[in-house]
Amino acid sequence: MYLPLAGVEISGWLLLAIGFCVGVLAGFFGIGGGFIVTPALNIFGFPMAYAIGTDLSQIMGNSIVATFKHRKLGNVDLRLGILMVIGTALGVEAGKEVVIYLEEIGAVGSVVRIIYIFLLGGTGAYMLFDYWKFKREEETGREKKVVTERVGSRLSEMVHRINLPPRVSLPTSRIASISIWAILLVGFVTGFLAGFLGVGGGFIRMPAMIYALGVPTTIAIGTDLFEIIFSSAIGAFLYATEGRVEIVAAAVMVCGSAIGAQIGALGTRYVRGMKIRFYFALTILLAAVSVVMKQLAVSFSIPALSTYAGYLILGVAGLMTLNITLSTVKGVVEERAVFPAVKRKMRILLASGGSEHALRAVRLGARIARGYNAEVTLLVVRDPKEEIPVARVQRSAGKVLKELGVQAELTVREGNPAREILKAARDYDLLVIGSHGTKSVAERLLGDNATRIVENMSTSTLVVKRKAEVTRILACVNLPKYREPVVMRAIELARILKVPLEFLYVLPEPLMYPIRRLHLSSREIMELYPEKREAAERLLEMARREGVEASVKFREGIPEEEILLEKREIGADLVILGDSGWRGVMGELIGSLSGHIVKHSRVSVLVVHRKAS
Amino acid sequence: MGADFFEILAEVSRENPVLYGAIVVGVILVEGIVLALLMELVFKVLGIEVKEVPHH
Repeated sequence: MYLPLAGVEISGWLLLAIGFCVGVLAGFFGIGGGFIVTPALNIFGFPMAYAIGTDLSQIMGNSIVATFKHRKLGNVDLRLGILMVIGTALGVEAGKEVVIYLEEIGAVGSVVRIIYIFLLGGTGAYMLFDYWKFKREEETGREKKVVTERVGSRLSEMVHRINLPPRVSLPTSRIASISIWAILLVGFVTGFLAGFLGVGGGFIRMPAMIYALGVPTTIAIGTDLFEIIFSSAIGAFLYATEGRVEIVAAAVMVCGSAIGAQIGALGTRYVRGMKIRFYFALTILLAAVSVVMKQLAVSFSIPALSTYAGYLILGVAGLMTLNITLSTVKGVVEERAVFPAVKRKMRILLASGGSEHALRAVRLGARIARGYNAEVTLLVVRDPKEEIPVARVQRSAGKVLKELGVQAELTVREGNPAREILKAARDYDLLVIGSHGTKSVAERLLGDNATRIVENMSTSTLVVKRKAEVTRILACVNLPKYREPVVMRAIELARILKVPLEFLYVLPEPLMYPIRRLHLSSREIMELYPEKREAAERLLEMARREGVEASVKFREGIPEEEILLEKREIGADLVILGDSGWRGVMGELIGSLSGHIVKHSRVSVLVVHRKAS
Repeated sequence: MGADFFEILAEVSRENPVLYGAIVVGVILVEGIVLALLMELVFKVLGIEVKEVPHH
């Protein structure tokens, strides 16, 4: 297509491709991408002023699309964004004034370029160093917990201590209280640099939010994009009034970047915060190299060097786009494998006999059913030996269900409760029963109805014990064969009940341990077995993507004992584990882990059946 | 016809720069919003559900 304003003939596909690349990078890093598009357009024949103007318009559209996506991901802190916009606007104005002054004394070109190089190089080098330090600490085990990123720095701690009222809380950024002046100051400084260098400033603001304000990486990305909408809109308008914007080229690039921004923003779900910082550092370091090449081209009059600088930045953008796209696709495919799209509604069976503990089971079951939007059936089993008034059970359970806004079908069966519940549960995805715990000597030895049901179950079973409230979940992910359904259910339930989740790995104690147990800590176990640490990181990532606060713990010893000990230590009131039980003769002889936990746990236990996968 | 359209835009930018500035910002703003909504719809159809992520 021929663009009459810039007087350039350019392929629409090429513009789409450039837009796509910059969209991916903008969505992933929270930058406008000016340092990529401007040289690219310039290389393909746009005069510099047209390249900047068209780029600014493209950045505006791109930021709108990426901000929408990040807002959906919960990555935009509007309060912080608005305060930063104010500070930035003042800073840009001040920066511009300094540039005008330098122009008057004839020193603007080289000063701007040198500061640009130091800023890009310095920020990139610092972030790279920070990533390297984090990796080293992780490898040497000084990083105590398995974390996906480290939030905050000494600088941000100092900024948080500035005690100038008014103070504001930023819950989205997980900042309890910070002085408004501190935010305005950071906005002003980044705005000043942006105005001084004549760039959008995303590459300065994003790290500034991370290191100076202590904002998590993904929030810094989303909030930065929100800010870029305003700064680029003003820039685009000003350049357009000078006739320096090729609106058609900008519109075509926005189409490409709209697709790219989705991939980039989605990529922040699958790449760890520290890794994003690493990629970002690498990109801006190479951008600094390209600016150095341009400076050398001017200083030593080698025009070819300037073209190579452009190609370098294009190559970096292309490779980074490819890397992010592949990571995103891989993440989506892995996620699909663990959380397949549910084709039909979940079916939950609530068994109730009208007792206190049965009503607690109905209450917790109904809360879970509401979260899953499941089909619910209330089952009442009439034991011929005991007189249970069905109408009373129906009334009391119905009251609880109504209170929670859950509708249920009623089924009445007659016979031995454990046997009838097991028979009825076959067609359901989850069975919820109450248990009063083992009271009599016979129950302590043989287990109560709940233990019998769990040991013979054909579907996942939730045994609700002393209370219906859940404040913390402990999920045992020992058995590789059953790990996937346990992880899936645990994450889903933590999301529905809005509670933190801990994954527990118990390394079974070898039979021939030399003299005594090694008493290894979680950290030592992770050091000894890197594959376990990787598995732990994967679990945390999966939980994070589903909006669940999670942690991972390793213990060594006998699983039955360690699970119960850990449950007590962390105060978990729901334990989730896989059904590892032996059936038939073996089951009678050696029992099962799940049966043991159900029998001895004082808190609710969910035993996930194999078919749940 | 495409070439004519480009010429008209070039003409507007020369004759009335402020109007051209407003057109640029307006068109890109609307395009951005429409594309953002469209992309959301496409992702919904593809079944790639986006949930809010906690930040640790």
